[in-house]
Amino acid sequence: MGAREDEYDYLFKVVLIGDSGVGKSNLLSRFTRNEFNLESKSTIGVEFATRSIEVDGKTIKAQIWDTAGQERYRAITSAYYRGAVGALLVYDIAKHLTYENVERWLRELRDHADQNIVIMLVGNKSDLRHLRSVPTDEAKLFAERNGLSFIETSALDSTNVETAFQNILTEIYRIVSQKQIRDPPEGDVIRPSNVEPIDVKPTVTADVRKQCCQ
Amino acid sequence: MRATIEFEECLKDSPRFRQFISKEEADIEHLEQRLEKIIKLCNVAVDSGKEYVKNQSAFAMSLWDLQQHFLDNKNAHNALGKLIHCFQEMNKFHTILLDQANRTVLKNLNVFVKDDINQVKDYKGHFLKVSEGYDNALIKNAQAGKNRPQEVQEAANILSASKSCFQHTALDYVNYITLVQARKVPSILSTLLDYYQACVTYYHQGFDLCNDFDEFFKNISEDLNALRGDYQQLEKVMQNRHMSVNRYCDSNTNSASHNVEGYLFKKKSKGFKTWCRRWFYLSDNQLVYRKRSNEDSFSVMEEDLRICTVRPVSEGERRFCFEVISPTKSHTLQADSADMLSLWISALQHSIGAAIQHTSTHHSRPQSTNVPNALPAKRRIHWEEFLKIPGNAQCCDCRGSDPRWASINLGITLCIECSGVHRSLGVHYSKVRSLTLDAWETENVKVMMELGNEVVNRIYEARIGDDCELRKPTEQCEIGVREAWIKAKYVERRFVCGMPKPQDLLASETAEVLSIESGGAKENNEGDGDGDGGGGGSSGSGGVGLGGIGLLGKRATLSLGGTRKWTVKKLRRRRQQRPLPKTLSDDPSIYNSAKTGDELDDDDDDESINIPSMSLSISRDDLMVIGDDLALDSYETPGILGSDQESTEGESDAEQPEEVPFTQLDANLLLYKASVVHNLPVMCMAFALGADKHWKNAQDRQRSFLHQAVLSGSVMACEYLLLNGAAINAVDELGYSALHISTAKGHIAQVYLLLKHKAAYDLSSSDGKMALDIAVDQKNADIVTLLRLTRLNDEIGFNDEYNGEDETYKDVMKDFSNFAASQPRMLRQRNDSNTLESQRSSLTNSE
Repeated sequence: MGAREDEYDYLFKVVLIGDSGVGKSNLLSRFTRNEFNLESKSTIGVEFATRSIEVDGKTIKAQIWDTAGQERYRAITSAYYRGAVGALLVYDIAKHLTYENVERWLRELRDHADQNIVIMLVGNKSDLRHLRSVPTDEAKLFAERNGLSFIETSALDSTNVETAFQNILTEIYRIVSQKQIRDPPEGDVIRPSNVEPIDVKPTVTADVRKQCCQ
Repeated sequence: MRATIEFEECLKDSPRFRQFISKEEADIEHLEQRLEKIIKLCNVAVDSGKEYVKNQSAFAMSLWDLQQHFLDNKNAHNALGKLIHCFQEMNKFHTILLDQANRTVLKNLNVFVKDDINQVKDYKGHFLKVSEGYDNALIKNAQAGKNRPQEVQEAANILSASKSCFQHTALDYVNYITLVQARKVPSILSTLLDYYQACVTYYHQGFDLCNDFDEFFKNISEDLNALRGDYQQLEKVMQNRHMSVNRYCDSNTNSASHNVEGYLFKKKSKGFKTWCRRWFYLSDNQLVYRKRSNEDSFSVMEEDLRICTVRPVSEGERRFCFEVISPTKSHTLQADSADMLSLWISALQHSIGAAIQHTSTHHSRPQSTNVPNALPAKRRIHWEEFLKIPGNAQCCDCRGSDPRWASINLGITLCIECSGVHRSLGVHYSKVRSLTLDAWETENVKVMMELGNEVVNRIYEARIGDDCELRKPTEQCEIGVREAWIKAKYVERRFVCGMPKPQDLLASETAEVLSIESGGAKENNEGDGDGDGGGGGSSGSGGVGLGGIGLLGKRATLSLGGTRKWTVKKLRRRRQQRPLPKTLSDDPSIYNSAKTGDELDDDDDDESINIPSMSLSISRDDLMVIGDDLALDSYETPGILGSDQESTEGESDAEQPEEVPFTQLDANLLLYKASVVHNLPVMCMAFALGADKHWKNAQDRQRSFLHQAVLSGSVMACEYLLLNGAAINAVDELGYSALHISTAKGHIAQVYLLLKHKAAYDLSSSDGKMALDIAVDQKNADIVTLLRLTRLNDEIGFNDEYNGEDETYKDVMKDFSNFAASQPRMLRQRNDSNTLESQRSSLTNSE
C-alpha cells in the first residue's frame, strides 16, 4: 500500500529462480535496499521488491519476484512466471549441484514463461574464490550454447549485482522498446521466404490517428 | 574308349604297365582336383542362395508391414496380400531347390571323391609297399651265392611268395583304377542330372504358382490402368486449383458467410505483448483459437459472445486490427487484409446478435432443450443441476416455470421478471446472477446447493396465510404486484417465520399435533425485536406460527419439567454416490448417535445424509434442534456439486453441539451457532430474523459469525456470510480477524475467499501480528503467496498501462480457486503440521 512511488515509463517483471540457498534473496536485497544478511531464512512462497533505474533517459521500474528455491516452500501456482519478461537464473559457484540444476530451471521456464523471456545466468557468491567448483569458462560456454547472458556476482561484496540487473533490464528494454520481437519462433509461425513479415510502417496509421483524435 | 592295360603286362610288371599306372594316377588326380573345385563352388553357390532366400524373406516381411499401412484400402490390402503370398511361395521353392543342390551335387560328388578316389589312393600305397618287397626279394634272390644252397632255396621261396603277392596286388590296383575310371562318368552325370531335375521341378512349381495367380494379377493390372487414369485426372484438377487460388481469395472475402474461421494475429496481453498467429473460429457462442501445430488443444478467448462487442482498432501501428471486448477483458486481433477485417467484424457481430437472439427467443418457451446445448458444458451442468434442488424448478417468488436467474446470497432461483425486481432492491438485499449467462464460482454454487427455493420459502414465506392484503404474484402478473410482494418478502420480511420457541404447554411426547398458543406469538415478537427491527411485529396479532413456529413446534418437544435448551446441528448435503443409509431402525449406530445428540464421526457423517428430521427431535425432550424443519427429505444431489467436504476436517472429534437455554435465543446467537456448524438453512433463518451483521459475541471472545464460520473450516458458510454482508474485517478480543484465523488454520480456500472479498490483510492483532506474519511463521507458501501477491496487486493499482501484474494476480487467484474448489483435502493436508495444530488450538481454545 502507501504512496504510489514515482512515475515510470516501463514496468518489467523479473523473476529470480534457482536452487535453494544460492543467494537469490540477498541479490534482491542488495539491489533494491543495498542490504545483505548472512543469516537470511528460506523464502516462503514469493517475495517482491521494486527498484527503478534509468536506461536511455527512460525510467524503468523493475518488479522483482523472488521465488522460493525449496520445493516445499513453493506455492501451488504456476502463475509465478506469467507476465515475466526477464529471469535471473541463479546458481552458487561454490556448489556444483546448484549449477547442474540450471537445466531443470531452464525447463521450468520453458514450460511456464513467455518464449521471449530474457534469461540471465548468474553465478553468485563469486567472493568464495577458494571454494569455487564451477569454472567461469564452463558456465559461460553453457550460457552461450543456451542463448543466455552470463555474469558472476557477489551479493556479499556487491560485485556485479548492479551490473547484472542493469544488463538484463537494458536488454529487456531494447527488445520491448524497439519492438524487435517478431512472432515467437514456433512451429506454427509462418516464415516462408517469399512472405515479408508484417511490419507496418507508421506513416499511414499516424495520419489516421491525427484525424480521429481531433 | 580309353586304352586298358593288358593282363600280361600287369603280371610282367613291364615298363608299359608302370607307365600306364602313373598315367592313370595323374588322370585320377586331375579328376579329383576338378571335382574338389566343383564341390567348393557349389558350396559357395548354395550358401549365397541361402543368403538370398533369407533376404528375400526379409523383403517379404517388410511387405507385410507395408500391407498394414493399407488397412483402410481393401483392394490394395488384398492385392498386396496375394503378392506377398506369391513371393513367399517362390521363396519356399527356392529353398527346396537349394536343398536339392545340396543333396545331389554336394553329397554325391563328395562321396565319389572321398570313397572311390581315396580308395584308389590308399591302395596305391599298399601297391608300392608290395612292389618294394618284391624288388627286395628279387635282389636277395640275385645275391644268393651258388655255394649256399640253403640261402638260395630261402631266397627263391621268398621271391616266389612276394612275386605272387605283387602280382595279385598289381591286379587289384589295376582293378581299382579301372573301376574308378569306369564309374566316374555315370556317377558325375547322374548327379548333375538329379540337380537338373530339381531345377526343372523348381521352375515347374513356379510356373504352376504363377498360373494360379494369373487371373488375379490380370485383374489388378486392369484396376491399375483405371487408377492411373484417375490419377491423371486428379493431377489435372490439382493443377487447375492453382488457377483458382486467386479466385478463392476473392470469394472468401466477398462471401457473406457468418461461419467464419481462419488465421488472425493475436496480441498477447501480458509480457512482451507479442503477436502470434492462431486459428480462430466460432463455436457454441464462443470465440475459440488454437495453434497450427498438431496438438488438439484449443483455448477459449471469449466464453460467451453475448456479452462481447467488436470494434475496429485504428490506433497502434498495425493495420487491420480489431478488438473483442467483454466486461472483464479485451483482446486485440489482426486480420490479414482489410476485407478479412470487415468479414471478421461482421461475422462476429452477426454471431453475437444470433447468440443473443437465440437465447431470448427460447427464453419465453419453457423446457426448451436447445439453449442448454448451446452453452458451454461446465455452465450447463450448473444450470440443470440447480433446478433439481427442491423448489428451484419454479421461480421462488412468482412460481413461474423454468427460472433462469438466481439470487446468490439468498440461494434461490428466479424468473427474469422477478430477478429484475431483485436487482432493484440493491445488492445488499439480493445479488442476482444468470444461471445460463454468468460464470459461476464454486463457492456460490455450494451456497446454492445448501439452500434452494423450498428451504428459503419455508423461512421467508412462513406466514403468508394471514396476510391477505398483498396479492401473491403469478407468472403472468404485472410488475407492480411482483415489486410489492418481493419488497414485503425480503426487505420488510413480513412473512418470515417467527423465532423458534419452546412449546412449553405441550406435554405430549409425540407432539405431532399442531398447537400454537398466542403466548408463543408474543414471545416470538419479542424475539424479533431483538434483531434489527425486521418486520414481524405488524403481523403479531394474528394466529402466528401456522407456518414457521408450527413446523418447529411440531418437531421440538419439551418434557414438562425439563431444561429448555436449543441447539443447531450440522447439515450438509453431500454427494450421494453411495446409497442412502438404511432406514433409521435398521441402523442402530446412527440411531444411537442421533439419540445422544452427539455429532457423528466424520466418516459416519457421510452415511447419514439428511437423516429425517423426526429422528433427531424425538431423541431429547428438553432439547430443540432448530432448523430440523428446514431439512428436506433427501433428494438426489447432483454429482459434481457436493457441498464443501472440507467442512468436517479438523472436527474429527465427535463434539457435542452446544446447548443453549432458550432465554438466550435471539437471531444473532442463532446465526452464531449456525455458523459453527455451517448449517446454511438456519443461518438463512437467522438473517431473516434480523441478525445484525456487525454483531459480536460478548460471551465468546468478541467473535463474529465469520470467525465462527472460519473456525468451522467451511468455505460455503464463509461465502454465505460474506455474500450477506457480514463484517469481513471484524476482529475478536485478541485482534484476530477472520483472515488471521483462516491463515493460522492453514485453510487456503478460506484465505482465498476472504481476499477475494477484499478482506484487509494489513490488520495487526493485539500481539502485533498480521496474517502474513502468521503465514510466514507457519511456512505456508500458498498463503504467503496469496497475501503478498494481493498486497502487491493493490500497490500496483489497476489503472496502469503496464498492469500485467493485474493479470498475473488473476491467474494466481484462479489457480487457487481451482485448487480450493477441486481438492480441498489436499490443500489442507499439504499444510497441516503439528505446529499448525498447536497454533490453531491456542487460537481457538486457550485464553
